[in-house]
Amino acid sequence: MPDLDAQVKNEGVRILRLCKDLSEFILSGQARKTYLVETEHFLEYIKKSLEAIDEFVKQTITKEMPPPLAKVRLKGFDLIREGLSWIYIFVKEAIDADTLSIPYSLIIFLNYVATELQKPEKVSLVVLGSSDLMYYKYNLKNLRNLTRHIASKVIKDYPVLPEDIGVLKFPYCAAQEVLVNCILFHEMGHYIYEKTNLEQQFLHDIESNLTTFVQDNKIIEELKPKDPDLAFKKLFIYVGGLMSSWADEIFADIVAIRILGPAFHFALLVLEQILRTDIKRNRNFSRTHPADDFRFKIHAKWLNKGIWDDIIKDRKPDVFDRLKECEKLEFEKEDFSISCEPPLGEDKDLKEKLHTWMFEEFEKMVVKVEEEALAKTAGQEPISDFNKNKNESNDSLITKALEHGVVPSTVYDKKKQKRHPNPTTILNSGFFFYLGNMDSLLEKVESSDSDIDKRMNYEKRLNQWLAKAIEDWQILLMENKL
Amino acid sequence: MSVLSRKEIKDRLKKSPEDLESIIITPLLNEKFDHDSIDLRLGCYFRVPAVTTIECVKPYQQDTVEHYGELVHKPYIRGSKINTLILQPHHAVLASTLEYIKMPGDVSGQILTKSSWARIFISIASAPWIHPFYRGCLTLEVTNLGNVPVALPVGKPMAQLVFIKLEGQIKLEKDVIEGSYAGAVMPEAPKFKA
Repeated sequence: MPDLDAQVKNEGVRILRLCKDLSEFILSGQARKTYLVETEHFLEYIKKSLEAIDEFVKQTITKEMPPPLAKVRLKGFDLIREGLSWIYIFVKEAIDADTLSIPYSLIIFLNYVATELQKPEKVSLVVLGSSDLMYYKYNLKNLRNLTRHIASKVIKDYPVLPEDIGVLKFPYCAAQEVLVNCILFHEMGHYIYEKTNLEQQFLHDIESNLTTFVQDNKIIEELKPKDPDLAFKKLFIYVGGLMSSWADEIFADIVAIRILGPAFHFALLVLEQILRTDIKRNRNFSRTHPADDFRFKIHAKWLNKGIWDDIIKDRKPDVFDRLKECEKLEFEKEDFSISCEPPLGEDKDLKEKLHTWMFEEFEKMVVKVEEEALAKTAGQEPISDFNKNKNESNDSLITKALEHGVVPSTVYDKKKQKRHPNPTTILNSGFFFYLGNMDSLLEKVESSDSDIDKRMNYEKRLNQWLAKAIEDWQILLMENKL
Repeated sequence: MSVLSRKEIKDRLKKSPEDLESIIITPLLNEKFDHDSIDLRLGCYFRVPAVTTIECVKPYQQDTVEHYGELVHKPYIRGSKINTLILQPHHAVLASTLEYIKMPGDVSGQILTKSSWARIFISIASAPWIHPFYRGCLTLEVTNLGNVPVALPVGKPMAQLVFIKLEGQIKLEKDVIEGSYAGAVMPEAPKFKA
C-alpha cells in the first residue's frame, strides 16, 4: 500500500518549488525591463495564478489526510501541473517581450484600434515573440477552459484567465520592423472574430446544410460505413473545421484591410517573399487557410470599397497586377480547389461533389463575414486622412519628409498649416515609399558603405522613422495636440 | 556669425523639407520659444553603461564598443505618472531628445543644458555642436556631477538648441545626408572609423 500522504507532500513540494522559480523569474524580468500595460496585465494574471497554487498546495501538504482525500488531492495536482505547463511557456515568452523586443509603437496603436472596435468591452492584446517565422493568434480557449476547470474542481480562488486577454505572436527577430508587422492587424482580426458568435452560427448552419446535402446525395449510403453516425460526424468535423477556419481568415483580412488599407496587403506580400523563394500562384484552399489568390480577390474588393483603388491604381503596377488578376477568379469557373482529403474513402467523384458544394456554401458564408466585418469596423475611415486635401495630400507630404530623411510626424502644407498624419496614413505612405521611392532617399546619403549596406541601413532607418512617427502621434494624442 | 531669432526659427519651421533653409522639429509640443532658442525634451531611450565582462573598451574594436552601453526604454507617460531614469552621482548616461531635428544647410546648432538643470549639477552635452543638414534625435551625454541621485523625467525640457547662421555667402546646392548617426531616433553605440 503506497504512502499516499507522503506522495502528496513530495509532489506538493515539487510544485511549490516550480511556482517559486517562476515567480522569481517574473520578478527578475520586471526589475530589469519595461513592459507594455497589456503584458504587465498578463504577467499579473500569471503571478496571481502562481500565488493561488502556492497557497493551496501549502495548505494541502501541511495537513494529515486519509487515503481517499489524498487520492483526490493527487488528481488535483495533475490538473495544477497541466496549468503550470502552460504558464511555464508563457512566462518565458512574456518576460522576453519587453518594449525593446517588440514593435512597441505599432502594438500600442494595435491595442488602441482593437479597443475602439470592441467598445465598451476591455481589450488587452499581448504580443509575444515566436520562434516560428510566422504570425498567429494563440488560441486561448483551451487554457481558459483549463483555468475554469481548476477553479471549479481544485482551487476555489483560482483566477480564470480574463476574457479581455488575447495573445498574438510575431517572429521574434522582426521586433524593429514596422512595415511587415502590419500583419499583426490580421491577427487582431482573429481576436475580434473570436468575440463574435459567427463561428457558432456557421457551425450550426454547416451541420444542418451538410445533413441535407448528405441525404440528397445519399453519401453515407454510398460509403456503407459500419457506423453511419460516426461517418457523418467525421465528415462534419472535416467540412466544419475547414470552412470555419477559412471564414475566420477572411474576416481577419477584411478587418485588417479596413483599418490599414493597402499596407496590410503589402505586408502579406513581403512576408510571402521572406518565406518563399519561388512565389507560385496559390489557388488551393488548405486545412487552415483559403487560397492566397482568393484572399487577394477579397483584398481587391475591399480596397476598392474603401476607395483605396483610386489611390493605388497609378502606383507600382507590378504590385497591383496580381490583385487585378485575382479579382476575376471565380469558384464557378473552377479557379480554386481544396488540397485536403475528405473522409470519403477513394471515391474521387464524391470528393469533387463535396468540395464543389463546400465552395458554394463558403460563398454564402463570405457574404455574412463581410457584413459582420463591415459592422465591426464601421466608422473607420482612415483614407480620409491619407488623401486629405487632394492637391496636397498627407501622403505627398510624408513622402517628401521621408525623401529627406525626416520623421513624418509633423508636416506643413503649402499654406504653412501644420498636420499630424495618423498611423494608418504613416504606414501606407511608408509602404509606398519603401516600394517605390527608396532611391530618392539613398541619392541623398553620402557614405563610404557599399550600396547594399547603404540600402540595408536606410531600410532599417525607414522603419525606425515610421515607428517614431507613430509614437509621436500617440504622444500628441495624449497631450491633446492633434 | 549670428543667432537665429524666434521669428526666423518659426518661419523656417513652416518651410517644406525640400527647402534647404528649412528647420524641422517633431513632435513640437510647445511652441512658446525663447527669443533665441528652442527647448528640447528628454526622449524615451537611454544607453546605460553596462556591467560587462569586457576587460577594456577599445574604441576601434567595434565588438567591445557595441554593447558597452545597454539600451533602456522608459515610455512616455503623461501627467502625474512621469517616467524617470535615476542617475546616480558621478554617473553618465546617453540619452536623446524626444524631438527629431533636421538642420538647415546654412545653420549650425549648439545644444546647451537648461539652466535649472545645470543648477542641480546636471550636464547634458559634451559634444554639443550640430552640423548643417544633420538630422536625427540629438544625443545627450547626461552627467550627474552632483553628490545625490537625480531623477531624469522623460518628456520634460532639459536642453536648449541655439541656431547659428554661418557667415559669408553660403551657396546651398543640395540636401545631403551624411555622418554615422544621421537619421538616428535613439542614442546609438559609437562607430569609430579608422
